[in-house]
Amino acid sequence: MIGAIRSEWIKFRTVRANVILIAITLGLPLVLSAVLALVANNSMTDPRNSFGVAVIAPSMVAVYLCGVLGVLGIGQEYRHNTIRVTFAAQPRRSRVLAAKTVVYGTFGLLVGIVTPMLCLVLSSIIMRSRNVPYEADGAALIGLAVLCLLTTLFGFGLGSVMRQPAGAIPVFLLWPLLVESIVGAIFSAVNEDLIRWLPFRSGQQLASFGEDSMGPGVGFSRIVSGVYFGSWTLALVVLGWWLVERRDA
Amino acid sequence: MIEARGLTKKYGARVAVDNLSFDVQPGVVTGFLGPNGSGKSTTMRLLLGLDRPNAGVATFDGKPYTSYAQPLREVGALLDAAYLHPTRKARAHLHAVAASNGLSPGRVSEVLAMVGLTEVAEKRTGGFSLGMKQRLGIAAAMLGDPRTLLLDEPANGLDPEGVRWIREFLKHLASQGRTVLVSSHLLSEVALMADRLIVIGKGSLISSTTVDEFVRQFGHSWVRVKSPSMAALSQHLQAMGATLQFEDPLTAHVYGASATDIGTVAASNGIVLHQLADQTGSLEDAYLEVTNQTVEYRGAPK
Repeated sequence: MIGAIRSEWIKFRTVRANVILIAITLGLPLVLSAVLALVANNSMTDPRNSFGVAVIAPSMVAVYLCGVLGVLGIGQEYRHNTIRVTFAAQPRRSRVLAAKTVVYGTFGLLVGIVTPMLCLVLSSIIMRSRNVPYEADGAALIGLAVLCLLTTLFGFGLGSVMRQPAGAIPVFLLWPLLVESIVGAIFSAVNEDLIRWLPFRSGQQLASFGEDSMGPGVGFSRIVSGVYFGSWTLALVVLGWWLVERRDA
Repeated sequence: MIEARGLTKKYGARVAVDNLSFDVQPGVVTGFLGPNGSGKSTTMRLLLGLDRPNAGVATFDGKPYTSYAQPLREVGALLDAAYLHPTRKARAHLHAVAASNGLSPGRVSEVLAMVGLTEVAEKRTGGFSLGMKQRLGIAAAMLGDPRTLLLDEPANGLDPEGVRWIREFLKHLASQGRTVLVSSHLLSEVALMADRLIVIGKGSLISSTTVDEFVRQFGHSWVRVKSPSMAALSQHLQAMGATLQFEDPLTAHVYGASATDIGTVAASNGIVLHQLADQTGSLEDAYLEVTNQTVEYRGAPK
């Protein structure tokens, strides 16, 4: 198993698209955080909102980029047929999938921890110098790390199911950014309580700060939201695992 | 030794491999031949567990490929030289493959040197020629110093020096007692490197035998005769049921009579012979003869 993990780690860091994405994942939130801290309104009444705007919001970019990396983690292998080399070298496919899960999951978790912490340090320096009220929310930071882990694995599961990244990446990005926005708007008009059942909207509750982003009393609690989004992630990963085991490589 | 028993693979209603059984012996190079679409590549994927068979089993030295925890130490395979990520460097590609089987980075340097790619080890494979990709694929197959090698069209894209190199390389590996199965469209190459053949058509086994036996069994044979009295000799030969094809008025290819028969007829009639030579058809002739009925994709006749 150690060999399989080492192999996946080498693959992860030796593809140009991954290297570029990793750089963007780590760098872009910091830039956004600095910009948002510089323009943050110092009349914000709830200091947790300043934290949310300058730390959580930029870190969400990293969360989605980690999901894209998760898709690419297996999608690129099918795209370039290297999956055949991979499975010829390690015919016990579950071992390969477990190794990928470990590598990409670890990366997602680390990004989910490191990125908001760096944003926190940077933005707090800027905002304190501008006398903007500022208060970190520890629960939101922990929730964001879990969300980043789950979103990375969600992408990996989707990539395992769909195989080709040209299809899986748009589905992964449009699902939360477009589909859930439209469906959420419809739900708002019909019955607001339905919004909590949208997986990504619910997942975002993990990193919620200040007021409930879905509106008071609409969303699940932070922990239940995490369990709900985690269930979707687990279902996709299990489905992808089953399909990869069953299908021809 | 590779043993395939009753391998069957269907894609919908189409049967790609049909109850295919064969053995591949160690110590010799075995050529794997068949027309386009005959199921060679599918068979290789089935052997390696990459495609799931509808029926049948394949074993390497008695064990299914999928039962090996570190299969590269037992079996090396080159399925398609293009199975590379274009932005990954050659050495990194081999490192990743080696790591999955607990093989050392030092072994990566050894196989790179073995195939002559040390100079370009830090280059991205997207810029490689087909020949360089083939060499990289062969390097990957050799990582675990395996007892069995499966190579699908290894000479594709290689220059003449490379073709000779792969031929000598595979013969050398076989001489060490390894099992070597090679598919190729280059029949002249197969004739030079292989000792045995497995020929399939439309997914079924046509022949599994030695190259010499295959050519003898399926190739045409004739006797080349040269005589200053060819007109007289031809009458005697036709009278005994032989057919003749003339190269020139004094030289003929005689079918349906052995060199012994022809020599006896000539001697008994006082006919001088300038040449009497058994001729055997090429592997290509035999192959085309035997696969004629199983070719799926054929060019229009001229």
